[in-house]
Amino acid sequence: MSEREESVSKSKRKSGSKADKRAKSGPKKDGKRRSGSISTDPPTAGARRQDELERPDSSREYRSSRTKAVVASEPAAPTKLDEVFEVAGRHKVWAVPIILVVALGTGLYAGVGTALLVLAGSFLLLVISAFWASVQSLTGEADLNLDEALSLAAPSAELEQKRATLRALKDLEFEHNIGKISDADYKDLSARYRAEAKRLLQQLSDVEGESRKRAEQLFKLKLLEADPDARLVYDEETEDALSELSAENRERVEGVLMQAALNAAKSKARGQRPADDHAAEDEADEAGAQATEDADDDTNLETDPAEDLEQPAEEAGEVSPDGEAADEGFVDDPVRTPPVSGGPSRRCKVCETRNPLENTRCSGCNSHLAEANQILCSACPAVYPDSQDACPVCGVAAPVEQD
Amino acid sequence: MWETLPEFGTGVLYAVLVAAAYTFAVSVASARGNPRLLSAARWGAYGTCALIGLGVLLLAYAFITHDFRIRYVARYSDRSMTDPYLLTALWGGQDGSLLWWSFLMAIYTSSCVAWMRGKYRALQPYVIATLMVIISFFGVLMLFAANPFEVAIGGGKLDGEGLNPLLQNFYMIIHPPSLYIGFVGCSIPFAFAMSALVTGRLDNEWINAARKWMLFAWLFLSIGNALGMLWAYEELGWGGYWAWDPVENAACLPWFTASAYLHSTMIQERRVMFKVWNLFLICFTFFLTIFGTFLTRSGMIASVHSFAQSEIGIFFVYFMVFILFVSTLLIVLRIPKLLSESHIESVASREAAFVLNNWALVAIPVFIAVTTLYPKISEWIYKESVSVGAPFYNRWLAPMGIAVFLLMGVAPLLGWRKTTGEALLKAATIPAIVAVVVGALHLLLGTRLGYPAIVEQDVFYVDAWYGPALRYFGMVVPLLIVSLSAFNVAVIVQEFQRGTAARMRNTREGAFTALLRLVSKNRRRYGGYVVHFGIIFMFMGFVGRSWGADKEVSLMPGQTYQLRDYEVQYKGPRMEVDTTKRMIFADMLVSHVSSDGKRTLIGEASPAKFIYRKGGMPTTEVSILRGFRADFYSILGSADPSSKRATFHLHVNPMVSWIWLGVGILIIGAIVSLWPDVSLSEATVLSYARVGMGAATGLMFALLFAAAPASASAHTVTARAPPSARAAPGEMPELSRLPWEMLGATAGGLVLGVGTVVGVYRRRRRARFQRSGPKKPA
Repeated sequence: MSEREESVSKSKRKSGSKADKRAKSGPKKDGKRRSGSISTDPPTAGARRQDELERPDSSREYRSSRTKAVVASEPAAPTKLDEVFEVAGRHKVWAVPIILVVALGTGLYAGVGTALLVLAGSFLLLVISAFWASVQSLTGEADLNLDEALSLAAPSAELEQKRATLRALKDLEFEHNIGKISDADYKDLSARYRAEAKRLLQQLSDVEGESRKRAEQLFKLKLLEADPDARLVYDEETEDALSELSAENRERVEGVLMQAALNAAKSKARGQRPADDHAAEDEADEAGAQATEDADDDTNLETDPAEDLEQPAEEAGEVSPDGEAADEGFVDDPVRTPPVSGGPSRRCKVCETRNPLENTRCSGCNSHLAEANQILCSACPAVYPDSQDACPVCGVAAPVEQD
Repeated sequence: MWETLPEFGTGVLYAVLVAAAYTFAVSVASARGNPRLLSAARWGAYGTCALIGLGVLLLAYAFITHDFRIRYVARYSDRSMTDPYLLTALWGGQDGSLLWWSFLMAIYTSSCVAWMRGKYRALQPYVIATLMVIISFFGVLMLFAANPFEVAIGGGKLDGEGLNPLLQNFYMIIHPPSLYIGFVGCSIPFAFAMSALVTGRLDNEWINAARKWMLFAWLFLSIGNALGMLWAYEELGWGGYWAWDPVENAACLPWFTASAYLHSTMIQERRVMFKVWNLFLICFTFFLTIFGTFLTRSGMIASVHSFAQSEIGIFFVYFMVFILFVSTLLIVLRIPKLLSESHIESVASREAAFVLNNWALVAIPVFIAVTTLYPKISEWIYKESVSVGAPFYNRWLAPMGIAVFLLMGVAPLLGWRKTTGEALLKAATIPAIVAVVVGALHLLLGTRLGYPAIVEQDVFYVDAWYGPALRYFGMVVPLLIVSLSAFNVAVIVQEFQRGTAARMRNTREGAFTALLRLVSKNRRRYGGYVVHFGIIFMFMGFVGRSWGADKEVSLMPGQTYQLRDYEVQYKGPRMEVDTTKRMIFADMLVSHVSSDGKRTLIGEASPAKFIYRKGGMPTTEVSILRGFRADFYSILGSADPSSKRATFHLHVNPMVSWIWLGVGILIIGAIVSLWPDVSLSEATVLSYARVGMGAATGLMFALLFAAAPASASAHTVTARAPPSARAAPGEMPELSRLPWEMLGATAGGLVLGVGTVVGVYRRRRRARFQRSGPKKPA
């Protein structure tokens, strides 16, 4: 597993385990919430909301086929069996030594025949697990790993030609150095190879430029999804509207809004028009309607919260169900643009205020967000030791100086 | 006893077929770009391979537990066999060897699928699909023609028939797996070629992917053939190592085409030329592996190796026709994309030399294949039986072999695209002078030293015009090979010297450092030169046969006989008995006679005849006294117990050890070329551990070939212990006692492997420290 993949999967695991912990610990009251930044605390909220969004829910399926499509593409909530598989997968490197040691021990104790049976049993388990994984991949229940995702970018013919040309250039240089090729021939051939290499590089740059932009978008999106602390930040009006909802309805509405922002960002990263993706909008409408019904029953709230949320958010350039604001806010360039409308933010350890990534001090209590020997990543909420040249989570290079 | 073992084993074979079909379907479906389907196909491939592994373990269990209900187990083992021999019996017969073949195929497939993770996304689906087709073929073969789990019709026997005594030999334990590894390894490049043809991605992508797999397969083809030569030399007892037996021929055919491919692929990589030729070579190499297996398995041609006449030949014929049809069709359909824009600019270029070399390397296997089949062709067409013997091959192949040997030296002197006359003259002067000087010295001193430059030959074709031509050419073969060997050595030394000098000029490094770094930065090029160096040794070993002598003598105890500069004194016969056989030895003292008549005892030879209780025919156990200059090789023809008179075949085989040494050097060179080209950041300790183990294997084989005594033969040159001390009742002769050289080599290899791992750890730590650098101000 490459280092990058490992770091991403670590963050994924971290995310999963945090969500699980939250789900187990139950709701907690957050007494430190500040105006201007919305927090989804108690911590169970995020986990529940994610669970709700990710769980294939038959009650949602008949409401909107487009909603179904969105929901179906999300991974299912982990079951006990999945957890067992995850643990086994994490420690799979030990399987072979363990099997060999067991077989060897059995062989010494009970003879070669029994050792062969132990090995045969292990192979049978391997067969079962391999076909289990195959069927899971086939039915879309298994995650696509980073390697497989990266492998989608098969090298182009130009790339192969570039490699051949560079190799030829290297050989030419070597052979000239050892006197197999005359100076005149070397100059002529070298110029030809270099011109060819230049042409190919230019061609590749043209072709790959667009793809690289899209890849960057997707990568940022991946970071956002991997960040367990990422929350939308609402303006006061939205906050007021949300605060009138019951805790359960509020979680549901917030979940839908978050999903809408992510879907919009995905659409943009894939090069589609965000407006084409109405699934999240439908989802928000339905969730809003459901919330209204529930609220009518519980708190006699007359306003449709979905309607309330939609207009102010759009006007404020923040979040909207179709995600336009989210596109502008954090997907295009989370490094330079403050995450005013959502996207990664950094939580203060002292007062738990969420701060834009460029802040070095907390906007709530003015305390430093990092220790003296730590660096604040400019692209994600990570804080890492200054002995490292790059963020261990997202790989963005460390700045030369921090104040 | 596991009652349902045969049924379960057969069920596993059915499951292999179903799993391979499933994986094939999913992988083909994944070619449309669905990564989930590809992931499913990859897991399916792992599952299929694990099923085959399960099958092999079940058969091994059946052997170990003496489950004689299974026909294959009853036929190739008995209760007296020790565990190592029982496991060897897995590939000792037809049915089991097909399962073993599938098992190696499974290892290759799973390794390839794991290796392709994150790479070659577009090629992967069809690579997996092709490999599944090959696995399916062997699955069908096992299920319908040669099921290793088939139950004996008459029910389980009390004891089995036992393994053929000729196969109860250390080299037979490692020779078939090595050769199979080489044969099966050719499937992976073939799969990449098929995938490239189907997807139309015909640039260098598939060439890069297939290169190391082909080099690995070629390495094991070399090792397998060399081990086969060793086995023949030490066990068959006819005095030589290569007899142009049909099965030997079948084993060497893919080696030539794979060698041709390894050279021509360089042209495509650099000049984007010869795409059709490279695809043809890959497909032809794979075809030859199947053809070789067909020759061995069908029983069509009589051979010392071939398995019994069986029904599986027709399956192979169908499969060969299928391969030919699909390969040809795909190449023809892709011709427009395969035509290259470049062309050979000058005859004095490396690519031109490679083309000539390729023609010769393809002509040789075609010649061998046609000649091997000629007895059958003659029967079919002319209705007359003919046999083709070793002299025919030796006479006709000598010119072709020498042409390849010459080109091996000339090609490195040439640059890519074109080489001016001046540059060529500059490069070729010293090697040419060396060749001429050595040739002249050989002419002058060769006869006096016992290695004449010109050796008299018989006329092979009395009436034909080419008879005398071949005779005269055969006479000068020793001179040509010695001169060309000197030429090749000079070329290689010059290449290393020029490279090192250029590096010293450019980097101001010391000579030793520059040499090491030169090789490490250009492993493929200089690894290739090391391989060439090994081939020079092998050619010298082959030509040593011209200077050999053999004689059949009959001696009474106490009598002496001198053959060349070896003198033997026959001591007398001796008989020993163990639980499985009677052993008749004839002991001789062997002395070396110097030119002034002084005799030096070099050892005791004890050729023998073993008469097994099962099997009937006595086996010949040779005695070899090895030497760097020559081997003294003795075979016991017969020994009269009453008169104690014995008949011997004595051979002096000059420079045979050079062949084994050459193979060892070749292996080291191939490993240098195979060394993974990974950057430090990508390197994992596991990959280096793998390479360390590879190096260990190479070292082990090299030392084994170069220095091991004839451990496989039954003779000993020291006093023998009584039989009871060597083999416990009911046991076979001990196999578990490995030669000390092997243990030493293995230990050395392990130290090398561990050292590599530790070195990489330290390098990575240092690199990490350098990357992290000093702390920045907070």
